[in-house]
Amino acid sequence: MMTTLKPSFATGPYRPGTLLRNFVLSPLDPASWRAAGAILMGLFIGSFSFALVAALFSTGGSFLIILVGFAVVGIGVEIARIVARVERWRMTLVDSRPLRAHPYRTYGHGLRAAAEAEFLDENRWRDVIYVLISFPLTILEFVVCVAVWASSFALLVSTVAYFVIAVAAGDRMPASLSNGAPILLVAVAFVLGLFLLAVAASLSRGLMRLHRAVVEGLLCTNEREELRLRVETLRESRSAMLQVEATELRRIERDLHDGAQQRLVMLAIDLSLASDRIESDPAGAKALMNDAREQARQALAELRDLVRGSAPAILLDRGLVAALGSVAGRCPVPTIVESALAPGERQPHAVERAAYFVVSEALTNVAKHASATRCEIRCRREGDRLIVEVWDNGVGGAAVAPGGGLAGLRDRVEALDGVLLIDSPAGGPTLLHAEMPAAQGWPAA
Amino acid sequence: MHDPLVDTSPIRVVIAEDSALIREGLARLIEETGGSVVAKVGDAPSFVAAVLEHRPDVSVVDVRMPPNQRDEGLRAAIEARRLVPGTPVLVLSQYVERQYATELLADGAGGVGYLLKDRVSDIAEFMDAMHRVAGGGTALDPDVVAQLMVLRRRDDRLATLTPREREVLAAMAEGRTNLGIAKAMGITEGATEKHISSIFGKLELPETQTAHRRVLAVLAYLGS
Repeated sequence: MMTTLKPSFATGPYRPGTLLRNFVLSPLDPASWRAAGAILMGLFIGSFSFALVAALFSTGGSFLIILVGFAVVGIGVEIARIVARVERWRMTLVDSRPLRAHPYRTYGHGLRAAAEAEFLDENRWRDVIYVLISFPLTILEFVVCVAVWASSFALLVSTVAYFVIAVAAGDRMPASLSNGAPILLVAVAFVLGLFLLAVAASLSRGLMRLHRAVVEGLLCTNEREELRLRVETLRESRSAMLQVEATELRRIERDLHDGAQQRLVMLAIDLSLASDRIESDPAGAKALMNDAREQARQALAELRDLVRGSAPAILLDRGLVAALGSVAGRCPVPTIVESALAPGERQPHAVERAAYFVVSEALTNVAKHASATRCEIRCRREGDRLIVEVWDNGVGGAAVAPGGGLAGLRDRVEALDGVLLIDSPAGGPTLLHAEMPAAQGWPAA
Repeated sequence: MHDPLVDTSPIRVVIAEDSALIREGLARLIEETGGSVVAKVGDAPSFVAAVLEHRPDVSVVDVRMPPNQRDEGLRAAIEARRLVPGTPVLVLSQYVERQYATELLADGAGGVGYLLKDRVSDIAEFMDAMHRVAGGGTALDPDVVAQLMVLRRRDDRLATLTPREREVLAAMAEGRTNLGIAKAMGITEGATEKHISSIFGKLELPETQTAHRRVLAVLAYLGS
């Protein structure tokens, strides 16, 4: 917008001369008239929305015990959201700088997530609060505005009418008017009318500026708020990431300690016994050495499984789909892999690792608990999301329990800004769905 | 191709392994069992060069090698077989994957081995595998075979095998000879042959003469 042609309170420089000029010329600025119109409009919006939302809240509130009440209140909240949208638009009638709506929670999957989005969203409640306070505010604005505009019109119209009537009556000009009222008084009243006109114009715009500040504060987002939210999210996902890493390290440490390390100790014992005995009891020594070899083999197998659990070589070498094929091949339940990814398509390593981990853990669960006879791994990319699903026809009833394996998986996925959902009704089937941000078609490594 | 029955000269081996410890261990093992190590290298390009220079009876190659420590050894083995068709390679790895086995066997020329590194600890078995590969045969790790045996989409015909026949099928897929299967399972060669023809009948596979062709037929069936 061109501020030089249309001086406005919001953008004009604050030099006394300019201020005065702006004030005097304000009735000629279309923005002032739009402000007056917007205030008039505000009266209707404010009253109507307040009446509607208050009615829905009180009706819904009295029926909260039966769930219908929640739905009615929810409608009230959504209407407040529509009002917020209309109000942001109304503000731009006077000052065309755009206002950006604050972000709302999305409904997500399932009734519970939808209810959380509806009733636990700070920004939806801000909309409701706005509806409540804008009702008295719009009335006040309207009353003040009408008073000044009306006084100004009254003075201007009456003085002009007075003058016209006087001239029409044929009295001589300008010494006195026929009914004896002093010309000075009429002139002063006329100037006062002009002055009030400027006041009304400026006041309208001033009130709209104030109202815009309220709207900005309650219904809009700004860069600082967005950055704050982003930092918050990043802090959460970073701490989840660290948590995941720590858990992983603990698991590796424990597996090493309980597995390979013990085997190597046994191996060393067997070897030293064998070495003591090699002359006196060659046959016994040989048996001990065979034991030692068996321990070594077991230790190697355990190390292999340990590494396979988190970062198998094939994942690095050939990517996710090949690694999923490998893990599917090891599952005792017949498992097939359906991939809609482009051949050779690679994702950032952290994403591939998390996806692999989810599937490999899910398959372990399927093998252990599901009593399934069929299992499917599906992976695909939807835009910038990588989606991995594990489906089985087992007994179902899988749920995320704090500290459980599925909770670990969820942490892992959320650490990457992803989502993990489980649909596992009693009796099955079970579908585990993981979504992670992905790069669009990375070239093969 | 090295045939120990005809050729009495020691088997000539190239070793490609970046860990000096394992490289020397393998070399000692091979020399103590009457082989001759003609070259020991620590990375993929020098392995390909060594195969071109020495034309060994068999090469023993580690999958992971510098510079990336990924699957250089596997790629180098495939490259060496492209340059010297049919040169026998025995690939060793800490992990065995079905897909890598498929890639190695893709040229259909035989003389391919793919084993877990652990198998080296059973010297007799390892030497048997190495000689089999040197003779143009196949040596697939039981772990890979196990992956093939469970990765069935429709277990129709495989399900008709008896447990004994499944064992024999697995041993065939590993690349063992009839004699080897008979010895490993403690049955006579005749019984082994009976099992094999029963398996081929049930899976509707054509009977083939050479051990290598037989492995390919079995793997093709399992991999389908």
